[in-house]
Amino acid sequence: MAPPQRRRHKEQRRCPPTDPHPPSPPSAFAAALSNVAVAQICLSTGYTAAEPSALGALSDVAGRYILALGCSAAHIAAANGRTDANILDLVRAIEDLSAAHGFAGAADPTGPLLRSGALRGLMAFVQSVDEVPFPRPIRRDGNQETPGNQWTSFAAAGREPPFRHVPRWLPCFPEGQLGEEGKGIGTREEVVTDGVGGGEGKKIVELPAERGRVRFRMGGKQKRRPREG
Amino acid sequence: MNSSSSSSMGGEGRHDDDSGLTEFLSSLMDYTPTIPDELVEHYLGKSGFHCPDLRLTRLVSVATQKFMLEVANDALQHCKARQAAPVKDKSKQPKDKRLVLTMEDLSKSLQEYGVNLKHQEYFADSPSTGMDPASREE
Repeated sequence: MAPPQRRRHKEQRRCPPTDPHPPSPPSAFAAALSNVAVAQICLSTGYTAAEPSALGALSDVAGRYILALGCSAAHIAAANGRTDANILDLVRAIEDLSAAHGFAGAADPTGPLLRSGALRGLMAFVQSVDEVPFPRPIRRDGNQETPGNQWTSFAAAGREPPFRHVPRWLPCFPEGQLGEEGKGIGTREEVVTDGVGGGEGKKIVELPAERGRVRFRMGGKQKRRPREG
Repeated sequence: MNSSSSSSMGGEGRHDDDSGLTEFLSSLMDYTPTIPDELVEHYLGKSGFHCPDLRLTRLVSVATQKFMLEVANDALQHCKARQAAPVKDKSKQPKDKRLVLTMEDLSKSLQEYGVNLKHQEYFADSPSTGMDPASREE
Protein backbone atom coordinates (compact mmCIF):
# COMPACT_ATOMS: atom_id res chain seq x y z
CA MET A 1 0.00 0.00 0.00
CA ALA A 2 3.04 2.27 0.17
CA PRO A 3 3.26 3.35 -3.50
CA PRO A 4 -0.23 4.86 -3.76
CA GLN A 5 0.31 6.85 -0.57
CA ARG A 6 3.55 8.25 -1.89
CA ARG A 7 1.82 9.14 -5.14
CA ARG A 8 -0.91 10.89 -3.23
CA HIS A 9 1.66 12.98 -1.36
CA LYS A 10 3.25 14.02 -4.63
CA GLU A 11 -0.11 15.04 -6.04
CA GLN A 12 -0.84 17.09 -2.95
CA ARG A 13 2.48 18.85 -3.28
CA ARG A 14 1.82 19.62 -6.92
CA CYS A 15 -1.61 21.10 -6.21
CA PRO A 16 -1.60 24.90 -5.88
CA PRO A 17 -2.72 26.29 -2.53
CA THR A 18 -6.48 26.50 -2.38
CA ASP A 19 -8.21 29.85 -2.29
CA PRO A 20 -9.27 30.66 1.29
CA HIS A 21 -12.34 32.48 -0.02
CA PRO A 22 -13.71 30.43 -2.88
CA PRO A 23 -16.22 32.30 -5.05
CA SER A 24 -19.82 31.55 -4.31
CA PRO A 25 -21.58 29.30 -6.80
CA PRO A 26 -23.46 31.20 -9.49
CA SER A 27 -27.21 31.45 -9.26
CA ALA A 28 -29.14 28.86 -11.25
CA PHE A 29 -30.79 31.46 -13.45
CA ALA A 30 -27.49 33.11 -14.40
CA ALA A 31 -25.93 29.70 -15.03
CA ALA A 32 -28.82 28.69 -17.29
CA LEU A 33 -28.61 31.93 -19.27
CA SER A 34 -24.88 31.52 -19.60
CA ASN A 35 -25.36 27.93 -20.79
CA VAL A 36 -27.67 29.05 -23.60
CA ALA A 37 -25.39 31.87 -24.69
CA VAL A 38 -22.30 29.65 -24.71
CA ALA A 39 -24.19 26.94 -26.59
CA GLN A 40 -25.05 29.51 -29.26
CA ILE A 41 -21.39 30.50 -29.51
CA CYS A 42 -20.35 26.84 -29.84
CA LEU A 43 -23.00 26.34 -32.51
CA SER A 44 -21.64 29.29 -34.48
CA THR A 45 -18.14 27.80 -34.46
CA GLY A 46 -19.36 24.59 -36.08
CA TYR A 47 -20.13 22.24 -33.24
CA THR A 48 -23.28 20.17 -33.60
CA ALA A 49 -23.54 18.94 -30.03
CA ALA A 50 -21.89 19.30 -26.64
CA GLU A 51 -21.50 17.23 -23.53
CA PRO A 52 -23.52 18.82 -20.74
CA SER A 53 -20.52 18.80 -18.41
CA ALA A 54 -18.30 20.50 -20.98
CA LEU A 55 -20.96 23.10 -21.74
CA GLY A 56 -21.45 23.76 -18.04
CA ALA A 57 -17.71 24.13 -17.52
CA LEU A 58 -17.36 26.52 -20.47
CA SER A 59 -20.29 28.66 -19.32
CA ASP A 60 -18.78 28.75 -15.84
CA VAL A 61 -15.55 29.98 -17.37
CA ALA A 62 -17.54 32.67 -19.21
CA GLY A 63 -19.05 33.88 -15.95
CA ARG A 64 -15.68 33.90 -14.27
CA TYR A 65 -14.20 35.83 -17.19
CA ILE A 66 -16.82 38.58 -16.81
CA LEU A 67 -16.24 38.61 -13.05
CA ALA A 68 -12.49 38.86 -13.54
CA LEU A 69 -12.90 41.69 -16.05
CA GLY A 70 -15.21 43.59 -13.70
CA CYS A 71 -12.97 43.03 -10.66
CA SER A 72 -9.88 44.12 -12.51
CA ALA A 73 -11.52 47.26 -13.93
CA ALA A 74 -13.02 48.16 -10.55
CA HIS A 75 -9.63 47.74 -8.85
CA ILE A 76 -7.90 49.94 -11.41
CA ALA A 77 -10.59 52.59 -11.03
CA ALA A 78 -10.28 52.44 -7.24
CA ALA A 79 -6.50 52.69 -7.47
CA ASN A 80 -6.96 55.92 -9.42
CA GLY A 81 -9.34 57.32 -6.83
CA ARG A 82 -12.60 56.82 -8.69
CA THR A 83 -15.67 54.80 -7.81
CA ASP A 84 -17.00 54.53 -11.37
CA ALA A 85 -14.91 52.69 -13.92
CA ASN A 86 -14.37 54.18 -17.36
CA ILE A 87 -13.21 52.83 -20.70
CA LEU A 88 -9.54 53.23 -19.86
CA ASP A 89 -9.90 50.96 -16.85
CA LEU A 90 -11.82 48.45 -18.90
CA VAL A 91 -9.26 48.42 -21.70
CA ARG A 92 -6.53 47.93 -19.13
CA ALA A 93 -8.48 45.02 -17.63
CA ILE A 94 -9.00 43.47 -21.08
CA GLU A 95 -5.28 43.82 -21.75
CA ASP A 96 -4.46 42.16 -18.44
CA LEU A 97 -6.72 39.21 -19.16
CA SER A 98 -5.59 38.73 -22.73
CA ALA A 99 -1.92 38.97 -21.76
CA ALA A 100 -1.81 35.20 -21.24
CA HIS A 101 -2.43 34.58 -24.92
CA GLY A 102 -0.81 37.74 -26.18
CA PHE A 103 -2.00 40.57 -28.42
CA ALA A 104 -0.47 43.04 -30.84
CA GLY A 105 1.44 45.75 -29.04
CA ALA A 106 1.66 43.92 -25.75
CA ALA A 107 5.43 44.41 -25.76
CA ASP A 108 5.02 48.13 -25.09
CA PRO A 109 3.10 48.60 -21.85
CA THR A 110 3.60 52.37 -21.89
CA GLY A 111 1.73 52.87 -25.16
CA PRO A 112 -1.56 54.75 -25.27
CA LEU A 113 -4.42 52.62 -23.96
CA LEU A 114 -6.93 53.79 -26.54
CA ARG A 115 -4.67 52.49 -29.30
CA SER A 116 -4.32 49.14 -27.59
CA GLY A 117 -3.97 46.04 -29.71
CA ALA A 118 -6.55 44.21 -27.60
CA LEU A 119 -9.11 46.92 -28.30
CA ARG A 120 -8.34 46.82 -32.01
CA GLY A 121 -8.78 43.09 -31.92
CA LEU A 122 -12.22 43.59 -30.43
CA MET A 123 -13.10 46.12 -33.15
CA ALA A 124 -12.06 43.68 -35.85
CA PHE A 125 -13.98 40.92 -34.12
CA VAL A 126 -17.22 42.92 -34.03
CA GLN A 127 -16.89 43.74 -37.71
CA SER A 128 -16.10 40.20 -38.76
CA VAL A 129 -18.45 38.09 -36.70
CA ASP A 130 -22.10 37.52 -37.46
CA GLU A 131 -24.55 38.92 -34.99
CA VAL A 132 -26.25 36.10 -33.08
CA PRO A 133 -28.68 37.63 -30.60
CA PHE A 134 -29.93 35.82 -27.53
CA PRO A 135 -33.07 33.85 -28.52
CA ARG A 136 -35.46 35.32 -26.00
CA PRO A 137 -35.90 38.62 -24.20
CA ILE A 138 -35.00 38.44 -20.52
CA ARG A 139 -37.11 39.95 -17.82
CA ARG A 140 -35.08 42.50 -15.95
CA ASP A 141 -35.99 42.72 -12.29
CA GLY A 142 -33.03 43.06 -10.02
CA ASN A 143 -35.17 43.56 -6.91
CA GLN A 144 -36.43 40.03 -6.92
CA GLU A 145 -33.02 38.66 -6.13
CA THR A 146 -32.91 40.25 -2.69
CA PRO A 147 -36.34 39.95 -1.12
CA GLY A 148 -34.78 40.19 2.34
CA ASN A 149 -33.97 43.85 1.82
CA GLN A 150 -37.59 44.86 1.40
CA TRP A 151 -39.26 45.37 4.76
CA THR A 152 -41.76 47.72 6.29
CA SER A 153 -41.64 49.02 9.82
CA PHE A 154 -44.52 48.85 12.26
CA ALA A 155 -45.06 52.58 11.77
CA ALA A 156 -45.17 52.29 7.98
CA ALA A 157 -47.55 49.35 8.12
CA GLY A 158 -49.80 51.20 10.57
CA ARG A 159 -49.59 48.45 13.17
CA GLU A 160 -48.72 48.46 16.82
CA PRO A 161 -45.82 46.28 17.95
CA PRO A 162 -47.02 43.34 20.02
CA PHE A 163 -44.53 44.03 22.82
CA ARG A 164 -44.05 47.32 24.62
CA HIS A 165 -40.26 47.19 24.42
CA VAL A 166 -40.31 46.93 20.63
CA PRO A 167 -40.01 50.35 19.00
CA ARG A 168 -42.30 51.19 16.10
CA TRP A 169 -39.48 51.79 13.65
CA LEU A 170 -38.42 48.15 13.69
CA PRO A 171 -39.61 45.92 10.86
CA CYS A 172 -42.82 44.01 11.38
CA PHE A 173 -42.58 40.53 12.79
CA PRO A 174 -43.35 37.77 10.36
CA GLU A 175 -46.96 36.63 10.53
CA GLY A 176 -46.28 33.25 12.09
CA GLN A 177 -44.05 34.75 14.78
CA LEU A 178 -46.86 36.65 16.50
CA GLY A 179 -48.59 33.35 17.33
CA GLU A 180 -49.11 32.57 20.98
CA GLU A 181 -47.07 35.18 22.82
CA GLY A 182 -48.51 38.18 21.01
CA LYS A 183 -52.07 37.03 21.43
CA GLY A 184 -51.52 36.09 25.04
CA ILE A 185 -50.30 39.55 25.95
CA GLY A 186 -52.98 41.17 23.86
CA THR A 187 -55.70 39.58 25.94
CA ARG A 188 -54.05 40.47 29.21
CA GLU A 189 -53.46 44.12 28.39
CA GLU A 190 -56.02 46.52 27.11
CA VAL A 191 -54.31 49.14 25.01
CA VAL A 192 -56.15 52.34 24.28
CA THR A 193 -54.63 54.53 21.63
CA ASP A 194 -55.30 58.22 21.44
CA GLY A 195 -55.04 59.56 17.90
CA VAL A 196 -53.63 57.21 15.31
CA GLY A 197 -51.94 59.96 13.27
CA GLY A 198 -49.98 61.31 16.22
CA GLY A 199 -47.48 58.53 16.03
CA GLU A 200 -47.10 57.97 19.76
CA GLY A 201 -50.34 56.84 21.30
CA LYS A 202 -51.25 57.31 24.93
CA LYS A 203 -51.47 53.96 26.58
CA ILE A 204 -53.46 53.04 29.61
CA VAL A 205 -52.59 49.61 30.80
CA GLU A 206 -54.66 47.80 33.33
CA LEU A 207 -52.67 45.33 35.31
CA PRO A 208 -54.22 41.95 35.84
CA ALA A 209 -53.92 41.75 39.64
CA GLU A 210 -54.75 44.31 42.30
CA ARG A 211 -51.84 45.67 44.27
CA GLY A 212 -51.45 47.97 47.19
CA ARG A 213 -50.89 51.65 46.49
CA VAL A 214 -47.53 53.14 47.30
CA ARG A 215 -47.02 56.79 48.08
CA PHE A 216 -43.80 58.72 48.20
CA ARG A 217 -43.12 62.08 49.72
CA MET A 218 -40.06 64.05 48.74
CA GLY A 219 -37.72 64.92 51.61
CA GLY A 220 -39.90 63.32 54.24
CA LYS A 221 -40.77 59.94 55.57
CA GLN A 222 -42.16 57.29 53.30
CA LYS A 223 -45.56 56.21 54.38
CA ARG A 224 -47.23 53.12 53.14
CA ARG A 225 -50.94 52.96 53.35
CA PRO A 226 -52.19 49.53 54.37
CA ARG A 227 -54.18 47.69 51.83
CA GLU A 228 -57.89 48.11 52.23
CA GLY A 229 -60.38 45.35 52.43
CA MET B 1 -15.91 59.88 -17.50
CA ASN B 2 -16.29 57.92 -20.66
CA SER B 3 -14.99 57.94 -24.19
CA SER B 4 -16.12 61.47 -24.95
CA SER B 5 -14.10 63.00 -22.14
CA SER B 6 -11.22 60.56 -22.38
CA SER B 7 -10.81 61.27 -26.08
CA SER B 8 -10.15 64.90 -25.26
CA MET B 9 -7.10 63.87 -23.27
CA GLY B 10 -5.25 62.59 -26.29
CA GLY B 11 -2.89 64.58 -28.41
CA GLU B 12 -3.61 65.83 -31.91
CA GLY B 13 -2.07 62.81 -33.56
CA ARG B 14 -4.62 60.52 -31.98
CA HIS B 15 -7.70 62.12 -33.45
CA ASP B 16 -8.13 59.40 -36.05
CA ASP B 17 -7.88 56.66 -33.45
CA ASP B 18 -10.22 58.46 -31.14
CA SER B 19 -12.82 59.01 -33.80
CA GLY B 20 -12.53 55.32 -34.71
CA LEU B 21 -12.98 54.37 -31.09
CA THR B 22 -15.97 56.65 -30.67
CA GLU B 23 -17.49 55.17 -33.79
CA PHE B 24 -16.85 51.68 -32.53
CA LEU B 25 -18.42 52.42 -29.16
CA SER B 26 -21.47 54.02 -30.73
CA SER B 27 -21.81 51.05 -33.08
CA LEU B 28 -21.97 48.84 -30.00
CA MET B 29 -25.28 50.48 -29.11
CA ASP B 30 -26.84 48.91 -32.20
CA TYR B 31 -24.99 45.63 -31.83
CA THR B 32 -26.78 42.73 -30.15
CA PRO B 33 -24.21 40.53 -28.44
CA THR B 34 -24.83 36.82 -27.92
CA ILE B 35 -24.19 37.16 -24.20
CA PRO B 36 -27.18 39.17 -23.00
CA ASP B 37 -26.73 42.50 -21.26
CA GLU B 38 -28.70 41.33 -18.25
CA LEU B 39 -26.28 38.48 -17.62
CA VAL B 40 -23.25 40.71 -18.02
CA GLU B 41 -24.76 43.31 -15.69
CA HIS B 42 -25.48 40.60 -13.14
CA TYR B 43 -21.88 39.44 -13.10
CA LEU B 44 -20.47 42.97 -13.25
CA GLY B 45 -22.64 43.98 -10.33
CA LYS B 46 -21.28 41.04 -8.38
CA SER B 47 -17.72 42.00 -9.17
CA GLY B 48 -18.07 45.58 -7.93
CA PHE B 49 -17.81 47.19 -11.34
CA HIS B 50 -20.00 50.25 -11.48
CA CYS B 51 -20.63 52.20 -14.65
CA PRO B 52 -24.00 53.34 -15.97
CA ASP B 53 -22.71 53.43 -19.56
CA LEU B 54 -24.34 50.68 -21.61
CA ARG B 55 -21.50 50.80 -24.14
CA LEU B 56 -19.01 49.53 -21.57
CA THR B 57 -21.35 46.68 -20.67
CA ARG B 58 -21.54 45.81 -24.35
CA LEU B 59 -17.75 46.01 -24.59
CA VAL B 60 -17.42 43.49 -21.75
CA SER B 61 -19.98 41.30 -23.47
CA VAL B 62 -18.12 41.46 -26.78
CA ALA B 63 -14.78 40.72 -25.09
CA THR B 64 -16.28 37.69 -23.37
CA GLN B 65 -17.86 36.50 -26.60
CA LYS B 66 -14.52 36.79 -28.36
CA PHE B 67 -12.78 34.82 -25.63
CA MET B 68 -15.43 32.10 -25.70
CA LEU B 69 -15.28 31.91 -29.49
CA GLU B 70 -11.50 31.53 -29.42
CA VAL B 71 -11.69 28.78 -26.81
CA ALA B 72 -14.45 26.97 -28.71
CA ASN B 73 -12.51 27.29 -31.98
CA ASP B 74 -9.39 25.80 -30.40
CA ALA B 75 -11.42 22.95 -28.96
CA LEU B 76 -12.95 22.39 -32.39
CA GLN B 77 -9.50 22.14 -33.95
CA HIS B 78 -8.52 19.58 -31.30
CA CYS B 79 -11.69 17.64 -32.03
CA LYS B 80 -11.09 17.65 -35.78
CA ALA B 81 -7.46 16.63 -35.34
CA ARG B 82 -8.50 13.73 -33.13
CA GLN B 83 -11.05 12.55 -35.66
CA ALA B 84 -8.62 12.87 -38.57
CA ALA B 85 -5.89 10.89 -36.82
CA PRO B 86 -5.44 7.41 -38.31
CA VAL B 87 -6.71 4.61 -36.09
CA LYS B 88 -4.98 1.24 -36.32
CA ASP B 89 -7.78 -0.77 -34.80
CA LYS B 90 -10.80 -0.44 -37.07
CA SER B 91 -13.20 -1.59 -34.37
CA LYS B 92 -12.22 1.33 -32.13
CA GLN B 93 -13.00 3.90 -34.82
CA PRO B 94 -15.97 6.01 -33.80
CA LYS B 95 -18.94 5.55 -36.09
CA ASP B 96 -20.41 9.03 -36.04
CA LYS B 97 -18.32 11.92 -37.26
CA ARG B 98 -20.38 14.49 -35.43
CA LEU B 99 -18.52 17.35 -33.84
CA VAL B 100 -19.24 17.16 -30.13
CA LEU B 101 -17.75 19.47 -27.54
CA THR B 102 -16.07 17.21 -25.00
CA MET B 103 -14.25 17.84 -21.76
CA GLU B 104 -11.09 16.40 -23.25
CA ASP B 105 -10.88 18.97 -26.04
CA LEU B 106 -12.10 21.75 -23.83
CA SER B 107 -9.48 21.16 -21.15
CA LYS B 108 -6.75 21.12 -23.80
CA SER B 109 -7.88 24.39 -25.36
CA LEU B 110 -8.48 26.09 -22.01
CA GLN B 111 -5.01 25.13 -20.86
CA GLU B 112 -3.58 27.45 -23.50
CA TYR B 113 -5.50 30.31 -21.90
CA GLY B 114 -4.24 29.56 -18.42
CA VAL B 115 -7.34 27.76 -17.18
CA ASN B 116 -6.67 24.38 -15.65
CA LEU B 117 -9.76 22.29 -16.17
CA LYS B 118 -9.71 18.74 -14.92
CA HIS B 119 -12.09 15.85 -14.85
CA GLN B 120 -13.81 15.04 -11.63
CA GLU B 121 -11.67 12.73 -9.52
CA TYR B 122 -12.66 9.11 -9.73
CA PHE B 123 -14.03 8.02 -6.39
CA ALA B 124 -13.51 4.31 -5.71
CA ASP B 125 -15.44 2.41 -3.10
CA SER B 126 -12.30 0.66 -1.81
CA PRO B 127 -8.59 1.51 -2.15
CA SER B 128 -7.90 -1.58 -4.23
CA THR B 129 -10.58 -0.95 -6.89
CA GLY B 130 -8.53 0.99 -9.41
CA MET B 131 -5.28 -0.96 -8.99
CA ASP B 132 -3.78 -3.62 -11.20
CA PRO B 133 -4.70 -7.20 -10.39
CA ALA B 134 -1.03 -8.04 -9.70
CA SER B 135 -0.59 -5.33 -7.11
CA ARG B 136 -3.99 -6.15 -5.63
CA GLU B 137 -2.81 -9.65 -4.83
CA GLU B 138 0.15 -8.28 -2.93
